[in-house]
Amino acid sequence: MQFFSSPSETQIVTSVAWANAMTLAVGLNTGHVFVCDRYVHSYRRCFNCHTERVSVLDWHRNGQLLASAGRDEAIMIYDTRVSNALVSVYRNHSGEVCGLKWSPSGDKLASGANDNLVNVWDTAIVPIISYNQARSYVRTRHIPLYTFDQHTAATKALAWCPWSDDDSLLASGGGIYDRTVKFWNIANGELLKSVATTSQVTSILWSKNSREFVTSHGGGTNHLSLWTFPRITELVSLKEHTDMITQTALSPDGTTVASLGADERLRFWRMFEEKQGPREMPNTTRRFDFASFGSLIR
Amino acid sequence: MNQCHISGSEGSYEGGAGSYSSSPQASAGPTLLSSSRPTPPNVADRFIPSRRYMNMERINYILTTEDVWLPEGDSLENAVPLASSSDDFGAPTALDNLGPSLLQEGLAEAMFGTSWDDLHLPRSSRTPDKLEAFCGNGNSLLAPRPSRYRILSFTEAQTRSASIADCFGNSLHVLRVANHFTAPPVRPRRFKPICAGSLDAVDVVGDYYLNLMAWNSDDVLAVALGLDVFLYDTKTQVVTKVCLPIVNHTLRCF
Repeated sequence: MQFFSSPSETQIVTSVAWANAMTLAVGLNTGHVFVCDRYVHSYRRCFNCHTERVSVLDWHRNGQLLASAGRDEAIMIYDTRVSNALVSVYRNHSGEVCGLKWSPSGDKLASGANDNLVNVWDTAIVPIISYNQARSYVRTRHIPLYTFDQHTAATKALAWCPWSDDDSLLASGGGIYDRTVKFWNIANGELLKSVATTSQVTSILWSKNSREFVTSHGGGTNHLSLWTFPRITELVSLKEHTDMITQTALSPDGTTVASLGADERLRFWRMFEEKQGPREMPNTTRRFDFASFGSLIR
Repeated sequence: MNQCHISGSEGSYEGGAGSYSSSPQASAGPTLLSSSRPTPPNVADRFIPSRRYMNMERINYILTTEDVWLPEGDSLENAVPLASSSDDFGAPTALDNLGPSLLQEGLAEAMFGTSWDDLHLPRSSRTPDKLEAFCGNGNSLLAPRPSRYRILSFTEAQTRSASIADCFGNSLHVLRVANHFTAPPVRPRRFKPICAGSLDAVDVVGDYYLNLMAWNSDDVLAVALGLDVFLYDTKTQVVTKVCLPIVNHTLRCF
């Protein structure tokens, strides 16, 4: 078996997700999901449950449960600790699933797809399945906790509010014909607010340090927007990318946002201030030096 | 031996009928276990429900006359057992037969702190608020009430909005979420966002449906560029490549 990638027309990476500092999950267009270690040049697990490309991966907060979804419209939940890792399959979408986010407490899973639906699944029963008694038994569920059909385009951008208690607030952003960010109260399934933006919403990031959030956009404007949250006003619009911003990520100290554009640029933004008040750990407030950037990733 | 201690002015009754304390001073503090420790006055050595907030005279009156409803024209003296059995006022006058007199209303106001009509309305015609308060229902904890209605509520009353309360069971939770959009911003923002640097990401797939980047808790950014995954350590600015296997029929999935 070869462990080195070679130029191949049939294999590309379609999704990545970190479980913790060491473990990375990689999804391929062949439907395979690899769980890799950061330093060991091998993979630890390989799952071949999807029949089409794996568009999105997300880890549970315990770093052991992995959710994957993709073009075959099914959401798979794996427990990476056990041999028969596939524990649940959720089938409700009728389009390619492109957004998948566990809630901060890990009790709920939000999924958005190309069928314009946002589903919220109650996943609290996942860790209590007995693997010894039902080794080949996979629980398939078809009925989510909530189904929101107010979006009018594919919904990829999903973000749970990190400071909201009990997973009560979810933000979702619609695609190119929708262009709205909607806020949902997951406690009762109510649409709290819908905010119109100028273009396709490709991702939403909540700030950890302040009551703000960032949306990234495609569809011609290709900008990042910074919004205040309780009264939703757009503070600043950052236009540097020349093509759609496909993905954003927040640094662990909560100050820097990385945006990956289809214009083959990866940009870093000092977006938020450091957390006010007592500092938890001296390491978390370290910032890195971007002055010497200019090297190529590849 | 068990002597009831009723303080006359407030009508509060402490100690309780089920209390085994042998002296009437037991209600003043823990005298059975004569500890030198200062303890709050409400704490007993066993669970005895505190009746500090109960008006025992009023409860007795309500219990004995609760189901009595006066049809129009009926005599008050025959219908109300408390008034007919233990009164020393003599024969009813003609004024009393007409209905609640000024004297009785005044007496009810003075003794029970409520009006005559509230005491003598039948169960069905009482408002639900008063019914809850009379029955000592658990819901009476949630709404603010005058202190004379408080029979079994031992905690402070909490206010609640009626429009939010009926949309979901956990009303305080919903209230907190609904406050997100009306609360003022905490403090104005002084920090202007800047672009802090950029990198080339050659061969990145510009597909809306894919999720090609992730940042972990150790400041390592994973970016999928075409066939490969690169790890960019933002502390040391070192780029490493994740070695992925070639997917073919010999790949073992486990």
